[in-house]
Amino acid sequence: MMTALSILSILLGGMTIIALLATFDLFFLKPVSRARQKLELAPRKSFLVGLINVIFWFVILVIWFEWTQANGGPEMMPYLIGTTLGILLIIGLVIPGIPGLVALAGLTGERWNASSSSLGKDLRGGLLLVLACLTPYVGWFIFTPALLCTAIGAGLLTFFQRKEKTPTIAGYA
Amino acid sequence: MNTVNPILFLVFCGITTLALLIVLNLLLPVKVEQAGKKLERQPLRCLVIGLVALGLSFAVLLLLGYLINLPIFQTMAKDNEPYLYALHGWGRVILTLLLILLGLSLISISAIGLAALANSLGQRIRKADPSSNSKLIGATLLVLSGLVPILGWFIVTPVSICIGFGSTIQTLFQRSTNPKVLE
Repeated sequence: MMTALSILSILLGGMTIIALLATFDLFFLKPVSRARQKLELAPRKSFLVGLINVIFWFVILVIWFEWTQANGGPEMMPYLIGTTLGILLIIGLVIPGIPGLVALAGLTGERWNASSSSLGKDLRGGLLLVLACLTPYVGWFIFTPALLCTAIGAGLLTFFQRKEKTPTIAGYA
Repeated sequence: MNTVNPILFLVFCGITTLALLIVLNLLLPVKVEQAGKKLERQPLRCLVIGLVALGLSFAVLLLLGYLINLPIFQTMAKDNEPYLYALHGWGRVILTLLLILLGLSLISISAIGLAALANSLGQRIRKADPSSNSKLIGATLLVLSGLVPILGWFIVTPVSICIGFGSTIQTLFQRSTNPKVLE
């Protein structure tokens, strides 16, 4: 049975995440605005890209886990590979995911109340998203994974997009 | 340590569900709007379709659950037939995955339908009072009416889930209504 303390700690954790989202929006304006553009223009593409990447990393981690189980012992190699994979995972998923999450919070906040300030939008959007993610079953098993996939996908599209050339007028270029 | 009061847990669930309905309204506005239109035009049809679709889905879920626990392969595998035992293992994994996928899709379709219901409730309130926050009020009304003891738990919530499910199913499987171009 859940204790009152655990519910309180979950709520406190949610509040810290909201603060983190607002802080990131203040620090990383460019990646967040680009991720938001991606989310508005291609939400389905963002979700699919995120889903494919998450599945890819999950498969790699499972293979690594199975391999270490089979070749366990005092050898350093499995742990070294595991650490490298962990670092790559952070670079590949978590870092692109953060601007995506901040962008999602901002987007939600803007659609909720377009007239409020940027910080207000982030805080409102973050609060709504965190509470929605905490919904029993629907939030835990459907909304949170979908949200994370979309955020990671938008972040990845932002980081690895090709720079579009601005059209130039012949004769002036 | 104190265990959580069930009423406190119910309040927590209510607040989080409220947030989920609002977020679905904000992040999937087109789908929710389409489902809301279906809901307002033909509520009775949505209810019937939702009832039938949910009934069929639960029947499929039960069938999958039955198939997962089918003992026939296990008894055959006992008689020195390891490949059948392996097949049984893989079959169980695939059926369990199917079961989980079907359950999750049922829940998400119902959630979108409930968001559409909350949206249409909010818009009706907005007609009377244009300054009100329609999404918040609609979702709050729906969640609170679902939490009413007995009546809310056994009538309002199942009926709203069925109506929402029916409207979303219709939206998902509707034919495209592009006008034909005359040559």
